Amino acid sequence: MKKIIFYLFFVIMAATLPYYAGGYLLHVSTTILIFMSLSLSWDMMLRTGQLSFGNAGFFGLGAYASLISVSNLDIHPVLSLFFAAVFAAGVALVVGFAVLRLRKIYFAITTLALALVFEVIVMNLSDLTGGSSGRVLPQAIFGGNSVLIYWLILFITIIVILISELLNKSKTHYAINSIRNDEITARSSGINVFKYLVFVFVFTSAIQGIIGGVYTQQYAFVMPESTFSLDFLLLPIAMALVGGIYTTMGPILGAIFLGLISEYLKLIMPYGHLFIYGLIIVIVILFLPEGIYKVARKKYRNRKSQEVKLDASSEGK
Amino acid sequence: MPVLKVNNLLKKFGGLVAVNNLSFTAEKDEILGIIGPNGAGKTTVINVIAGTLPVSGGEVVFKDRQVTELPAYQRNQLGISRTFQTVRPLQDFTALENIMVGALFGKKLQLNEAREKALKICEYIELERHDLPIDKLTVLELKKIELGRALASDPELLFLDEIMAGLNSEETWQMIELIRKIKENEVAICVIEHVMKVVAELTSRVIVLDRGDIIAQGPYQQVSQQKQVITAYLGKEG
Repeated sequence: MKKIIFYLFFVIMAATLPYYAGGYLLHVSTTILIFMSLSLSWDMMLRTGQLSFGNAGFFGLGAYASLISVSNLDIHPVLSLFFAAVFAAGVALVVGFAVLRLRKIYFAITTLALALVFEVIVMNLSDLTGGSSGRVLPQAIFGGNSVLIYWLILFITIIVILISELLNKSKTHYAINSIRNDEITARSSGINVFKYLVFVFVFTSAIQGIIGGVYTQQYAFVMPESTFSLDFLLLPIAMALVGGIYTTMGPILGAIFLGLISEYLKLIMPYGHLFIYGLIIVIVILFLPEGIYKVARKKYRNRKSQEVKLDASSEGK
Repeated sequence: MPVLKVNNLLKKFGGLVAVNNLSFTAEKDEILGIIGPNGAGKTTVINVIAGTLPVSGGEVVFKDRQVTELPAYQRNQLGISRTFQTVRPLQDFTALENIMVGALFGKKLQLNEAREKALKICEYIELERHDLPIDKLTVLELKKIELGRALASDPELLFLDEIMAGLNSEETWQMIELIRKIKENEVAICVIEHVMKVVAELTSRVIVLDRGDIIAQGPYQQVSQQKQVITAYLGKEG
């Protein structure tokens, strides 16, 4: 109950942000939410034990699917997000059947190659995608109203957070956790490993597709170089690592922490801020290898158990 | 009707024949021992029957059904369970959750049903500290988790791969009692064992493997006297 009130408080805080925050903070928050969703989707795939570098690829596919469906098929921009999700999921399903037979470094490197392949394909379908110079939409979603855009992205992010929480409480959690821990044990315990890997790969790709779509609609613009950029690959990963992997709270905290730091650094030092940013990531990962969230949780629990012990010993006297 | 029928089972690793045209059956209400010197192919036999490794030839028939081509998870769902020689617990789970996994997927139960079933199994195998993480447990408890997870899918055929290894003599006795209790539930049990005292105590029949071939079979007391068995274990005289 306490927990629900706690969460509700944050949701209300986040939803009412446009009423008390300025345009700049709103923009920063929107970006943080986008990276939060990407980070969570990457983490959900990692929970199966498979390190995927495909997130930027599916983000890009969603971005293009959304833009093309709006400008060529005249679909409503919000509806185009579903199109982006379905398209990314469809591609993930097809390539998943091949790449999910690979494991570890082989899987990782193949998914990285996938993103590059998508980019090359997009560059060469210039009639549809505008080639390397990209394409522009006549206008951004909601006529560029930043408050509505913020609410839409907040809504999507809340859904992604709920999915992540549900995933950690479902039967699927037991399956993918077993697969990550020991695939042979998982197989011998009746788990259809391939089915679960495909399932998680497809729905996390769908999330990445939606986020790609929303990002495109926000800026009314796609270009291979920026849409398939390393930012959408590496930042979400760094956020999950800094916050703490295999949890919902980890990527959330990581995205807020790194997102705010990155904006602040940009303000105080327009040049060279990325150097400091990288340094902070390295330091956090070196000294808090389990991530901020897990370390904080452990500290909190230790203190609690000590309090219990103190209570018990004082009763003893 | 035998629960398990293996016909001309063949397993090659490249040019090495690990299991050579093996045929045998396992019945419920019996404990079958598979013994033999190191490298005889005992664990490979389990791996091939449980589906962890594909066969190179021959067939595996479980309850009159061809399972030779089925993946391991389907064989587990049908009722073939196994434990591993070196314990393979799922590290990020508690003991209870490890056992739940067998019930969730091998038996296709829902979360709360699986939890209840796992609790019952913990009681059955006398695993009291089941809410602890894996790294806090003793060898005996880890072995019990392996056994518990295998039991949670209600198997009709259970392979125990050197489940006594690493246990002291008192713990070994506990485990022997437990395996006998499991047998009473009409489960066909196959044990691979190096401790001959355990084999003598537990099994009703043994198969002796050497380099992938069956060199002897029958009750342990009888088989252990046979010359080729002694030769396989100790080497030729002179």
